[in-house]
Amino acid sequence: MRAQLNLPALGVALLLVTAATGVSLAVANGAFAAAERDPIADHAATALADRLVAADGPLAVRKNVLGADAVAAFDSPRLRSLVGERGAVVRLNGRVVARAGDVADPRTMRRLVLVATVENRTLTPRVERGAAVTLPRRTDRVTVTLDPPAGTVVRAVRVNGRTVLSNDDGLRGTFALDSSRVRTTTVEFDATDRLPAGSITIEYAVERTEKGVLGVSVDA
Amino acid sequence: MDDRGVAPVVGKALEAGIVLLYVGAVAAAMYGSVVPDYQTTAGDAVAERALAAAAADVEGAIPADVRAATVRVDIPLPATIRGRAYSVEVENRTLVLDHPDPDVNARVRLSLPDSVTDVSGNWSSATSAVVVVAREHGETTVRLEAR
Repeated sequence: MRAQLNLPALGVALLLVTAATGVSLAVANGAFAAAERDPIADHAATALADRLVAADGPLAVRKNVLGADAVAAFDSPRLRSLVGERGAVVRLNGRVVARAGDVADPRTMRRLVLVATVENRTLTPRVERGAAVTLPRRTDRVTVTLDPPAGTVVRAVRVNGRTVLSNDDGLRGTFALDSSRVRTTTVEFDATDRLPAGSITIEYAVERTEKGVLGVSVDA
Repeated sequence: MDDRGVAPVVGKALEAGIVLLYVGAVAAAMYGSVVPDYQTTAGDAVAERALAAAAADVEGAIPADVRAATVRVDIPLPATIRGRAYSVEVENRTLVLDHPDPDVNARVRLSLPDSVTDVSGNWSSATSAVVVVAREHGETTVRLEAR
């Protein structure tokens, strides 16, 4: 009688082992599914965001500083050329800048950026002999137009004490001066007499920046 | 009556046979399909991660705002994926992972600045990988090389 009981017991035991194996496989499958990521789509979103804020990118004037003009000119074909066949949306402060294709399953990267607007300003100072003109804003683009009255000779122009233009016979015309965005610019004129208003025109670019959030969504 | 002593032997042999068959069937199922499937799934995931990381390293190797430069960056790639050697090719600015197992594959599009004129070369997992970025006269070339 005992020998015959062994067989059903064995059957039950095997059934239990089978069930345990099945449960283990289900758990393993669940672990695989839970660990499933799409690193390639994540990379596409990161790479596009990096490209847009890069100094040599299509939008930026410097790293992480976007030009307002470039942002306004940015359109779908340009975005398409950056992102390939994936769908993508670029937003600035939540407002759509450009869209290419559909983004059904978005991978989103956000970057804190500055949006720079550049405007040109003009100074027409009267300069006493030996006096200097300090620009009210820091700038990296300065243009000087010299048109001294007859009899007055401008021999040299110095920026922060460094001679950048020099001509003993007199300077006349429009010149671009080197200056630094991180230093206040003082322009000195070495003239034989005082320079009345209108004989010097200093044009400089002023940059105004606003903080913004650049959002880049790429379809997975 | 002489058969009475045989019955337990037959019974044990039957049990042992059933257990052996069962273990054999389970082992065959495990090593025949379940484990290789898992290896392939894991290998595919590793391939995607490795290639995405390699693409990020290649993009990071390209200098911004430099007139002339040569940059060499080591790219860490796994020596084998799913136990086999593999290679990485470039097709039209896309990194393509070429693995002997057709179910293990990955493609990553490189996001490169406009100054890049050419992307070429290939990597084999058998040797250490390095990316060489050369910029001259404002034109940048990217080459995948063995170290």
